[in-house]
Amino acid sequence: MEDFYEVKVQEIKQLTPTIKSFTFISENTELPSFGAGSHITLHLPMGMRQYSLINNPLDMINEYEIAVKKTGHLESGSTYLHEDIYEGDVVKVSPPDNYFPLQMEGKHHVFFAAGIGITPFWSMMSYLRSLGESFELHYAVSGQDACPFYNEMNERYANQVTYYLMDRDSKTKKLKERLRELKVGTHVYICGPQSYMDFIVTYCRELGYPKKYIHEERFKARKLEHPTRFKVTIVNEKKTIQVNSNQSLLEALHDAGITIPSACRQGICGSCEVKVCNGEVLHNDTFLTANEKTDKMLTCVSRGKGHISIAVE
Amino acid sequence: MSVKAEQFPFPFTEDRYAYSNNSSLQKPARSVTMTDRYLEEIQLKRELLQANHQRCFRSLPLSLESQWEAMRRIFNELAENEPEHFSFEKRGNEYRFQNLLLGEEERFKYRDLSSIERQPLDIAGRHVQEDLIIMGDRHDGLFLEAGQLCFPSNWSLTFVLGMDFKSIHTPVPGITHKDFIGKVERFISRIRQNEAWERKNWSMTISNKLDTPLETYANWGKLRLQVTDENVGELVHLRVEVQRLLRLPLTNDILFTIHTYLLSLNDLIRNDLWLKRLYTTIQFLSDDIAEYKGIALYKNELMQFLEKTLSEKGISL
Amino acid sequence: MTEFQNNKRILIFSDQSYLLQANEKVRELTEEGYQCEVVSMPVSSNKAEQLLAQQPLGSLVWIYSEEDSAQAIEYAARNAGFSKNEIWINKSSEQNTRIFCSQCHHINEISSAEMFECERCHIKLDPSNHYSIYHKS
Ligand code: HEM
Ligand code: FES
Repeated sequence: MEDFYEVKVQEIKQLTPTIKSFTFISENTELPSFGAGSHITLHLPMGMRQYSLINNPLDMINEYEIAVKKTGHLESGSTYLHEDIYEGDVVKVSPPDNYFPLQMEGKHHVFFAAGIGITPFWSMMSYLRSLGESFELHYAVSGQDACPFYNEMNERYANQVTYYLMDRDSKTKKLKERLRELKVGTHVYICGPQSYMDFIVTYCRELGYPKKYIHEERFKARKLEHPTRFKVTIVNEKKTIQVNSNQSLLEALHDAGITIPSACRQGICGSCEVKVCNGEVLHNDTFLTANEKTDKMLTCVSRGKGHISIAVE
Repeated sequence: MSVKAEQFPFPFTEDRYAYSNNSSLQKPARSVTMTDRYLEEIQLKRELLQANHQRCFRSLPLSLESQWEAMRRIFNELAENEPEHFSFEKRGNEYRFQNLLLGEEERFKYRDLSSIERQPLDIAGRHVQEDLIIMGDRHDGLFLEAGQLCFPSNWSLTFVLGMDFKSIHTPVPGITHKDFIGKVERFISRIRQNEAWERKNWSMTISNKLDTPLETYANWGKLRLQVTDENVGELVHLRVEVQRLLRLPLTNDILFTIHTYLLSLNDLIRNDLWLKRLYTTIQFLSDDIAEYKGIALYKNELMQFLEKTLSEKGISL
Repeated sequence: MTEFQNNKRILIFSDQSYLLQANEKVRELTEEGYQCEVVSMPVSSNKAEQLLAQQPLGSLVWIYSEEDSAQAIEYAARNAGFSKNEIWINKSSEQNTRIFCSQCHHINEISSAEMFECERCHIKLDPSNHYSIYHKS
């Protein structure tokens, strides 16, 4: 697997007045396969942007497909894709990553989508259909015209999909009704605007549904795009060092003669943990829990802001 | 079955040994490797599978999708990396894998059980030297859901089938210290799709026997009592397992492969650095780990042999 | 964000011989705000499966029973989608320790932790405490 691939825009389709789909292919390399719920990261002039893949992973030959809604901001990645990208153009993409996998031990999968949040589920539903697994979709969308796969959806998933086209209050009431009825063996997946996701998660919590059954799509950057310098005092070594923008805390400590164990250098194994005594930390790992982040940091990827103090073992 | 020294993955990078997460990212991501022991080891595997299928292959129904994915992945890798020995063709949903070394061919329709005579992992494992394990990544942890295991170092596939990652590791001394094994599990759950990580595990085996399952301990374990000053260099082998963890993208499960290498001490001591490292490692090995790895029974003979060799070669530490 | 709490519903399966114990427990739990439903065993596997599948997400299953029937219920509960830590089995029901023979995979029931011979293949076993939730030994 490469760090990124140059892919060609093979096809652009206008799905709704504000949503376009893009199909990317590679003519010379085999693109890595992916699981339902994955996203790719596009390298655009305004930065890295993540979009869920919408193709059925089992049918993928050598293409990635995404659907993008134009948000209206002039500077946004979506405006750029809508207005400046044409069929035949070449774009750089990082390989697919999956923060939102299906739990295949689930007996029944319930999807809650709002607006463009439908995208990961489009891939998941076709995958589950190929496997013959049981699922349903609850889709809040402002109207039939705003729904990207309206006809296909009704043809393929007539018995699985419920639309929420009504006003806010009735929508809330109907969602709550469905949520109250969830049975054991169900996994819940949510994707949409933050307020929509928060509403469902909060209600699930009120109902006493354990967190491990409730899955939210949350995009976040893999890497800090612009690391800056900071200072670190190592309390128990009585030393203060500088970490430059082009090095990690782990490397700076090593240069200062303080070696701590490390393995992955990607913020996923927890080997390089240190205790944080003071200061603000920019956590950049996917390993520590929210609770652990209050007094620990992983030195291979996370950084301090200004001046922090830590203790090493 | 010893391998040639040039192909032996010597495990020690330092002079002390303690359990740590010694995994490193592999580029390109590979789950299997061929050595020049290929034909012998495949033959041995096939014999073991024939004689003890229940012991060497086990699976739970939930693993089937991952088995398909693992088989396709492995055949693809073989054809890509050893094109003179293997080929893999796809036509629509139909696949054909050819093993030219064995003169064999596997044809199947992807995800169509009626097109194959054994389970997919059981087919794939017959073409590679590695043992193959599927770890299901479930909402409540990692579980061993399928395996083809011919060359285990004193464990039983039947026993661990369906078991969670932490429980599998309970016999290992000190493994829960500072939640070590919990952190390893968290690490595995964070491995990104299509990525492969590699680590080495080591032990010692008396004789060059690859198949040392818990089930036949009564036959091979007693050899540990037969080590003497005279035969130690010939009998005792350093056993290294090169383990790979690959995230299967479609199913999001983990394919865990184990390639086992054996090298007799007589061959190992030709390399001065290896000799030194092995000596210091054994010297400082904690008693519980020495006991767990079965070395305690012949540790004296082993140390004397290494010391004698070091002084004969005039190597100081 | 506050942590999620488990649902406060417990489905309890109990043998006749444990009913007193189970009912005692139900009283305690009800006081703590749990909703309990007691199913007295034996119960047909169809019925058990049906009951299990109807439980709200996040419910717990408690089993007061001897090994074999407890295992059948546990298996059904896992199949219905309960997590391993949502199922609890009355541990005092295990008077005998179950030892998995590493050679022939026969499960022996013994009452002490001394060396013993496997009933099937007669190898001498020195029990260790390595436990499989799958084999229950
Ligand atoms: C996910 C796949 C894995 C499986 C199926 C697995 C399985 C096992 C088994 C069966 C044993 C022998 C236990 C016994 O004596 O009964 C073992 C030992 C051990 N495992 Fe794992 N393991 C896996 C991954 C890992 C990883 C990633 C690490 C560390 C980073 C690790 C660390 C260890 C250690 C330190 C031992 C003791 C080995 C010795 O001292 O000889 N395991 N493992
Ligand atoms: S080295 Fe793995 S988290 Fe830092």
